[in-house]
Amino acid sequence: MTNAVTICLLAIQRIEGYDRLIFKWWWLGLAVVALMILLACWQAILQVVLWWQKPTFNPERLFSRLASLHQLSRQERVLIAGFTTNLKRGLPPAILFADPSSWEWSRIEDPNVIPLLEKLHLKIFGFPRDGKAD
Amino acid sequence: MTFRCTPHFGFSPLISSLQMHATLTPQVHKTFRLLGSHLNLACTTVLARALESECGGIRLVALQTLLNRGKPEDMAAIVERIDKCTEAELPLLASHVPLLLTPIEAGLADRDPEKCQSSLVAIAKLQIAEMFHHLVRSAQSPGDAQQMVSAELLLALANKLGAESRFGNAKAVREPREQLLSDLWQSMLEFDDHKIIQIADAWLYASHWEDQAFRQIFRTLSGNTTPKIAIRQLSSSQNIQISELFAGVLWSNGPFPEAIQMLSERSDSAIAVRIAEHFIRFGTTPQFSKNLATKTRMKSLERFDFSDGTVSTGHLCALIQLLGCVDVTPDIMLNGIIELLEHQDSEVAVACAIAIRSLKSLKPEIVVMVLSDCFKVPEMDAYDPPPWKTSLRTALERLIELYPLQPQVVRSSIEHVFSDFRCEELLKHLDDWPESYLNAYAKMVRIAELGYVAFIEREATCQSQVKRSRAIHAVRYLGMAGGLDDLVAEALHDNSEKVRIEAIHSIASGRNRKEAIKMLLPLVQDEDQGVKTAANFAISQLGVE
Repeated sequence: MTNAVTICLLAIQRIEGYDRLIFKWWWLGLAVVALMILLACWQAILQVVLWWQKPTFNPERLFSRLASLHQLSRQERVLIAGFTTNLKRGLPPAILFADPSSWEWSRIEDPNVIPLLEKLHLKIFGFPRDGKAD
Repeated sequence: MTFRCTPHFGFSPLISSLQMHATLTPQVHKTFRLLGSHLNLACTTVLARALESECGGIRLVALQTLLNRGKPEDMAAIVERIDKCTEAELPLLASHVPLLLTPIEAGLADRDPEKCQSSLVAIAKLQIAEMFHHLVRSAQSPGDAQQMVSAELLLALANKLGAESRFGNAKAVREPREQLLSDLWQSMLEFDDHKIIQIADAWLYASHWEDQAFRQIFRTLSGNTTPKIAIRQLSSSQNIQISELFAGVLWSNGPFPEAIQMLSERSDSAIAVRIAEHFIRFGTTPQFSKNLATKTRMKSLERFDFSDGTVSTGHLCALIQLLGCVDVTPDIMLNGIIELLEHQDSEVAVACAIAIRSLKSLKPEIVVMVLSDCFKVPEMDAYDPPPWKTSLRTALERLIELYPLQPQVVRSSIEHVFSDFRCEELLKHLDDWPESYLNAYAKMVRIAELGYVAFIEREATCQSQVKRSRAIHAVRYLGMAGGLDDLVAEALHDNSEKVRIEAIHSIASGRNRKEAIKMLLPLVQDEDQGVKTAANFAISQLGVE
């Protein structure tokens, strides 16, 4: 490949009157090479971006993202993560952020956490557990 | 559960246009905005699960979010949970049908029966006309695992479209209904192969009595085998939708006479109630009158049991009015009226009053004949009266009993119907009619002529002895109510022997035996021989030694 380019450039230089030209043909070659490099860079960046944005199935990450969205404290995160064990079978943990009816209050074993969870419910949904807005 | 109301969060205006069970709070909105935009595929799972929420608002927002995401897996999630969608959510889905076609088709081809079923439910619920044939094909295939589900879906869909076309916005459902009817008709052509009765039922559910295809099935009654199953269902099924369709034939523009004939042959109450329902809705249109004129007898109306407690008062009122439109014997009409009057419901009074007025054709001779005891006259041979006479007699006697308890509107109608019964007429026939006739006639006069007491009083105080005598004679049949007892007591002291004797007879035939004996005893010693004899005879009749 390098030899072929070199041969081509030498062949161009041997053309009669080439030295008198203001426009040099190798400039064109240089431009093509530069463009190819640019295209390669663009392709590489695109691949990285696509890899970064590739759809994944990650319930834990979504749960974490929603917890961050609602600015839950560490303690609240622990509390709600523990509450996911009360969810009906098959329900994704993040449903606790989307559907208030998925909160299984009757399954809570420790009554002391109920006030804390009620506070958390209000924080996540903007209305209290019983639905009566204050 | 109620949510705080915080409007305008950037979701589709469709959400606000729908009846939401709840409104979005900023927190809920924030969550769903993230779920709608995040690339994590777990969002689809969460949103799909949120479609099953107990909160209507959450379900609706989840649905809108999935539709906004618009990816194949999101659409597939919606289709898989389409059976959980409520009526309020369907318009939103119906406006996004093109997005759902691919997952529906994929579901139909899938081996997983649940996915296939979801696709069939989606076709029916979203009324995707171009895919109805999948539903019909599945319903007509006995070997198909989804056959029963498809048949049920088909019936529900046909019912919805048919009801909308008959009583709602026919134009709105014209396209899907026509497509469904066409697909079902194709299946009906293959009825001999599949024998699935629900196909014919669904076709009838979706039909309108004005449909050309529906009319045509009566034309080909004796020829083509295809509509036979539809005809059989029409003539025997007590299904509400089928009865509703068939009853509508009476309001149809130019139906085939065979259709009216078949309808008149049906005798079940289901069809009568449906006719009543249409009557309430459409009333008496010129077309209805024209159609009834071709066939004036309707077995279902004639045989309807007005004591049926399951039928609403409104329907009963309509039915009694309908009886007035068709050619029924007076006893049928009267029995219906009596049943209604016994409800003692103020709602029925006007309907009964109208119906009673339509009995004007009831001739006094017939009433007298039926009410009199002529069947029991000893000189006559044993005679079983025809059923209609016995029925009419019972009804008339009950009407007379109920008369004083009725509101004025009903009483006026009864008086109007029997206005041919005149006290004057009774007096004319005192000599030539048998006693049973006179009793029957007098019974009706008491109801029909309010001024009969005044008339008798006038006649009884007249100069003419003959008139006085006849008036007192008539009291024997009219009874002693309204001051006539005083009149008769006065007549005992009349100048005329004949009048006095008539008075004795009238008192003796009165109901109060003790009072009669007390009044008659002094006359046993009367100077007038005729009066004395009559008094003795009367007292002996009353049972005094």
